[in-house]
Amino acid sequence: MSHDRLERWYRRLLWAYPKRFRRARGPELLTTLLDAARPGQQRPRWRDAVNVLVRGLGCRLAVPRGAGYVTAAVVVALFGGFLASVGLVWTASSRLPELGAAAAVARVAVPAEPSDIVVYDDVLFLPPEAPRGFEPSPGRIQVTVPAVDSDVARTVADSRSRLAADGWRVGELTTTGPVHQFWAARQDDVVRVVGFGSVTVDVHKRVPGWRGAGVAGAAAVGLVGGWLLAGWALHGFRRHRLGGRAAMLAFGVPGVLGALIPVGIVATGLLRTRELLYLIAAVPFAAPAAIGLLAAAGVAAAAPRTPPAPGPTPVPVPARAWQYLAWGATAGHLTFALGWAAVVAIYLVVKARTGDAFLGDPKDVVPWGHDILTLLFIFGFLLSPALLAVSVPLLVTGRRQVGVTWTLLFVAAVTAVALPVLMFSPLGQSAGTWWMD
Amino acid sequence: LAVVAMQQPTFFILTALAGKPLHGYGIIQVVDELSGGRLTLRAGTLYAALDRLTEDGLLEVDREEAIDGRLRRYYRLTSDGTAALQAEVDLMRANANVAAARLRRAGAPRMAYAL
Repeated sequence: MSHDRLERWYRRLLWAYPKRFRRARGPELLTTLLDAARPGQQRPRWRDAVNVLVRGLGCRLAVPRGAGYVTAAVVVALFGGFLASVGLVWTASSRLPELGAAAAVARVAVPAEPSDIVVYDDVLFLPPEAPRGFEPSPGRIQVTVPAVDSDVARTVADSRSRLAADGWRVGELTTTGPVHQFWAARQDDVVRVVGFGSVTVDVHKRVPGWRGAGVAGAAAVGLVGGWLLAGWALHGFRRHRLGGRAAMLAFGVPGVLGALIPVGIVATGLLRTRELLYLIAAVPFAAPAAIGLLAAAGVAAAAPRTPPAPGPTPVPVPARAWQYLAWGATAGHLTFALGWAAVVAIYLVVKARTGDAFLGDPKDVVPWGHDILTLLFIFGFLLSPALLAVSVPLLVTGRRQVGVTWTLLFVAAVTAVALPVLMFSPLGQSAGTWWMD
Repeated sequence: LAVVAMQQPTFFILTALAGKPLHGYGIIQVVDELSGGRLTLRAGTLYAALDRLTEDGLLEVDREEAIDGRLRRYYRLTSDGTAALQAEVDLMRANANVAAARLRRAGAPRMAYAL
């Protein structure tokens, strides 16, 4: 019985599976599908088709099993979401009105010769609070005009009427002490007129309506992309032999840990203020992680196509990966803890030596290593707790391996909780203030 | 080995292979028969399980046959696979004994069995 047509159908459906699966099991899966076909069947039954599609896509999304792998994939996915949405926020926030157009708007608002025009094009400059419907982008052109009337309040009120007559939607005029201001919007532009001695007209581009949805969409795409990329790289990790794995760990572990920093900044920033500009503010912190992860991906790409031969004693990958990750996390926690302890110890020694007198500049006391200690000191409070996202899953999954590694990791993880607490103790505060000043 | 109860497909696939090495469609047929038609494995589900069980070392490839350009791969249980299935059987038996004992003590309606 010929199943040529059915076979073509199934071959197409098998594209749902990733290449590594098709290479390893494609032919026998096809045979099994055709074996199960009824005589003369021309098309797949829909339940079989759905089953192949769902399992194939599931296989594409699968990362190797194990807490270490899943943790890495989650972090890389979040990092991917971060990177993808940054570009969108940048595009949406970096728009600036044209100079000529801004000057023209200012002339309508206050018909007098401007005394000053300044362009503020810093994307990270937090825009002023504005009522709903007048959301400004960060960049602005500020036109300052001497008040035409000795009464600034009247100048601002007149300016509001003129803009309204010119087709602008004007907001309420508010007065706070000697400051009079209102917002106006027309199409893509937002204007704030402030009277305080002289009159300043700030011309912004309005935050595009698609920004929120666009950022959410980009984040979702980035999340899925990051997850897929992590899965691909981690499968490469498993096909590597010891050397390739060590290289991937050398780049990948700092990359994953480093990716927690921008992700953490964005998460805490967004939770507190809902200000999407945190995405851009975190970009400088993302560069080292991106380099580490890219390097790890490069090593993954060089992985052999076939896994190491499954000999009589398969390599205990999860156990070994667990151990490497545990060592990395322990080293990270302890480095930050040592940085903190060193600063406090130096403070205590200096204080004991000078009594209650002026303690001096820490840079003079510790000329060598001051910068490194400062970095560890500052980032320790942020990074060591963030590192718990790695060490806690490791502690949970490795709880049966009650060895030295587990105990060390446990002690190291405790420091991550203790550090922020100690920072707020009187001793921690005095030492920190002295060191940072 | 895990003490967590196996998923039904896993249990029946291991059970099917406890008899003799089988290829993909062979497993589907035997599982259907062993489960009294309650469990119809679909090919995608079967191969996801075969992939996982091979990776865990519970199954291994017994031999390959190519007939009319079609590849058939036969699988068999490893000693780990046999041990895992035995452990599952012991667990199920223990669970069943506990439940049966409690039912007896509660004077459960044995009539149901009599009928």
